[in-house]
Amino acid sequence: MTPTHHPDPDDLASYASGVAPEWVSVVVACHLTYCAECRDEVALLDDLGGALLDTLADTQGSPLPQPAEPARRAEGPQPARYVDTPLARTIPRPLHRYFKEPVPTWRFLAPGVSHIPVSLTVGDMPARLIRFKPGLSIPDHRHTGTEMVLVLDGILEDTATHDVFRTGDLSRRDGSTGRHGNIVTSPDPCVSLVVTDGPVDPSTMWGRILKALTGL
Amino acid sequence: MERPSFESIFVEYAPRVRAYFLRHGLNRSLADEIAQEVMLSVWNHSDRFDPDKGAMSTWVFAIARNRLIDSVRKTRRPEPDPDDPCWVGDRQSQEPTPERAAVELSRARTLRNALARLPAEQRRVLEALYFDGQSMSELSAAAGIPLGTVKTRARLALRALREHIGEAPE
Repeated sequence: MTPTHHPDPDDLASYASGVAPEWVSVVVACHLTYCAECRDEVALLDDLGGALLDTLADTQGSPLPQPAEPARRAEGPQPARYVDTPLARTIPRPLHRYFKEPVPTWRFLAPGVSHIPVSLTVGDMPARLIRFKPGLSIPDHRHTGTEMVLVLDGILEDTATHDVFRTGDLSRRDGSTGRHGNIVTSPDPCVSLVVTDGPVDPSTMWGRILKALTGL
Repeated sequence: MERPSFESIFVEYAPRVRAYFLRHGLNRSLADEIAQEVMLSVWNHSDRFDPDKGAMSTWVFAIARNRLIDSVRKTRRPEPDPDDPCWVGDRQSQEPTPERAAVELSRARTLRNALARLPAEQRRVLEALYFDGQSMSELSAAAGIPLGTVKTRARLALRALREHIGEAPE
């Protein structure tokens, strides 16, 4: 199934131009794994980078010293950076280098909720893979910073907008969006990547989960 | 298609790649050094360059951009992997054919022409993103233009480019 909720066009442009912070790139790369439409868009944005590069003139005068034609080094295969376990095969590869454990496993968090911690190396971006049991409801909450939720499996419904998020769909909420809640409407568990920009805020989805379900 | 020589790639792209790093604020000696590295990387990988899948410029740009992210910004930019079991849709583009190669070349030319015709203020937003490493909100703050205006300009620019690409190849 083709995703229907895509990243903001600005996020795709940031990703292609190289400006995007790492956490945005991770979310975009995971979405691209599922979305041929956005892959085409990024291909155009890459071509735009090439066309812009063509317009650059070297104003520095002195030519770059040109090395003699080097022997072309055979390119060995890139070392595999992904994990090959039955669970890992269900998680898009752009996430694999960020697992905190060599073999990712679901950890109990609260009744109906388990998680796999993901570590992003730049800044303090809390990112987690979360698995919700079918029927689980996340209470109404609002957003201060940005929160991106990418559904990897199952179905998550927004109780305020009634938007339905399936595999590859991305929900982006921030301070300008109103209060909302979520409910898992798939017969199977819903697995999502949840990333927030900034320290955990008790009013965000993640904060509410922690607060409502674990009493933290 | 015959592979271009190192010299021809170097003469064509090394000055632009250096200019790209200078635009990103690198000092002269670092820009020289990294531009040389990028050209070697382009050369080492040039057997992987498939002219049927895109223009050489796109490919050189991608290598320069990735080097900037790795070596200068010390951050990472993961990419989707067509071999990923999670992948949805075509894994590889269709068989390369002379027709497709012609389409790619024509696309690159069309894109350059369309870029040259963009209004200056729209082009400024694209250059901020691609050359100055400025996000739209950073450009908005630096240039004193409302963020909404910056975003609108970017969208208009991309829409115009897309419309040109969508047109029949010349």
